[in-house]
Amino acid sequence: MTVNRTVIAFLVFTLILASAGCTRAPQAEPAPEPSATPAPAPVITIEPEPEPEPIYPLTIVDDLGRTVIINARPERIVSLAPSNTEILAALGALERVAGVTDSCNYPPEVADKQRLGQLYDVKHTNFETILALEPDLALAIGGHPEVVSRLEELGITVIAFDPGTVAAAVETIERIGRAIDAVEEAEQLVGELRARLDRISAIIPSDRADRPLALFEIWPEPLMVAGPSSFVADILETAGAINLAADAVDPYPMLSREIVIERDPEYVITTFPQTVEDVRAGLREDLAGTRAAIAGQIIVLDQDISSRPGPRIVDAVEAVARALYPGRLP
Amino acid sequence: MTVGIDLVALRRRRRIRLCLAAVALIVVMLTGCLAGPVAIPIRTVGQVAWVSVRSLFDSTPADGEAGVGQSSGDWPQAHETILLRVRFPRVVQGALVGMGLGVAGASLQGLFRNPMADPYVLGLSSGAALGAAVSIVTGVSVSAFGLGATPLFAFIGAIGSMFLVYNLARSQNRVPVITLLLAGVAVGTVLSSVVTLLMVIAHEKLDRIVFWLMGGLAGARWPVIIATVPYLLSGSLVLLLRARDLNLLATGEETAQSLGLSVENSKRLILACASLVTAAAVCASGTIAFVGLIVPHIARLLLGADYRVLLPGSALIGASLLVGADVVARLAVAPSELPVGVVTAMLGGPFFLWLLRRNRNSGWGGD
Repeated sequence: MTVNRTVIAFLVFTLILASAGCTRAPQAEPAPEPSATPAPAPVITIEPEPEPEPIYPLTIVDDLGRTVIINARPERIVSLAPSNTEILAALGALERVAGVTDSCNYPPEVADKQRLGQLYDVKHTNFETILALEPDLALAIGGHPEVVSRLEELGITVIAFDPGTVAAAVETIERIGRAIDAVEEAEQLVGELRARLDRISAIIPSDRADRPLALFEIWPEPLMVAGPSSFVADILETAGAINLAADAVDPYPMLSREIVIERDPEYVITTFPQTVEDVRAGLREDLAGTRAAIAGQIIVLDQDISSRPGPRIVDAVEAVARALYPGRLP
Repeated sequence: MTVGIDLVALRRRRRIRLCLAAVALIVVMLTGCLAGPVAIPIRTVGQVAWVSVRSLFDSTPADGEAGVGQSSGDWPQAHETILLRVRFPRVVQGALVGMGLGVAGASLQGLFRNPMADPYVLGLSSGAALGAAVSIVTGVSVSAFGLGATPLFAFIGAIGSMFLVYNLARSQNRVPVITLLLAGVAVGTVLSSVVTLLMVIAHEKLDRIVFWLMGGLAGARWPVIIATVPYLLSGSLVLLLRARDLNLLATGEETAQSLGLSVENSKRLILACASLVTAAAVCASGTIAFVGLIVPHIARLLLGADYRVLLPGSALIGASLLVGADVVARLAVAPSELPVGVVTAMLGGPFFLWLLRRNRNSGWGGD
């Protein structure tokens, strides 16, 4: 049964992708402060711009626990994940990006960047294209350790980040900013993002019993939802909802539809517009009778925004919080 | 003389075992109605079933969804929804699909005289997968016979691959089973690599294809059951009625011909019915491996090689295995679920191996 073998292979890879956001690597130590490097004694001159501090070589501990030394300011960066591409763009470093994956579609300016294909796994990654770009830094994510070690073997400086929560995603922006010498841009962006998150946490009732019960649909058929300690579940938590599937065994469980009906979510968050139509057309026995369906509280999020631990993750949290607490957020 | 007496006793013992298999199916189906991650009192299950069956025959249109929407007793509405819209359809679909795969598998093993044959031997699962993948990639939205685009395309793909294989294997007016088998393997491999190609090209839809290919009963719904049940039942019934043909074919095609069987016609009919049943099963619940391969062997070991007993036995055991596996699938890691294919393999495999060890003399070539 060739088809089954293919299916299993792809399934495994999909699960690896899915778990990329949830297995939380030990938080890396912050990289040494740039100022820790002995800087030449400041000499007062009339130069209009001060000499930039020599922050490189820079030592970074990434989320795979690897200690990486970046020798010079990266000028040819390859981004191996859409979230990394979005972060680089938000830090104003897009002109230093040499290549992106086929999935990178935001911001629109990345359309004319060199494509690197899909990063499924080490067997299906096009290393030749990556090498041909002569990158001085590859930015990976946590889900592909084999790709990372292969790139390392090929002599490419590579760091991987694997944020498991919304807060960690924001922190990752800071860490990437440090790695690519965009510290000021990162500080400003992260400051704004944290301020927006603070505004949300200010409106969430302190008593958990006052927060609404919500289900985050990852996949409609078979029903797969955000379970405990998944990245997506943290969107729910950060937006002030109680996750209906918080007691499941794995981060992205195939949840029993009986459980959904019994627990009766007040809100359903999904990335499939089809779900709203299907509920309306009576095709979704599991959701049709829930409070969420009856009150029309099925919230559709853009999958790219809600699944990528980039700057736009705060948009996703805000969208959910606005729906849960209408009128409370500007 | 003693041989004759033994045969009579053997036949009686096998008839009793067939009845036991029927009882087992009823027990498993009842368990399937009672067991789930949400504990519902037996009394409620009985009452809900009774009320909905009665209202089905009373006045409401018999669309199989009677009683849904209005709570008709002193039990929670959620329990009624769970029973009528989640649990009962799962049990019914599991029984129908398990039955179909069991009968189709046994018939094809008989037809090919090959113990490795299964319902997907003519490339049906690959054809169905290709159909499903095409519908997902192109995003067509058609529906017919109460089926959405993806199940419909899967059905068409399965039947299409069967026709392709059959016509490739035909030479003049004969279809040698060996050619059929090889054409099935080759077409299946080609089609599944096309599916892989589609997955790579349309990678953003990859997960949808993967999830569709992963069979299961969690999504069982009455409209799909109603749409597929005619094919599952009529196809299985014709196969059951053709048990005698399979008995003759088991003696070899030349012998069967000389015993008066119109071999080619009979083969065509059996192939068509087994494919129809399999296509309907795949359409209802995706590709569930293993049931169609192992159930006929279990039936053979328990009930002997006479297709008049073997086919109904495969139907009953197939239905029991799938419904039982689904109970485990929904309870083992509650509130999550396991893919049912994993459970059928883990329950059926060891049981089959145990049977095999116990009766090393029967099975293929035995009896």
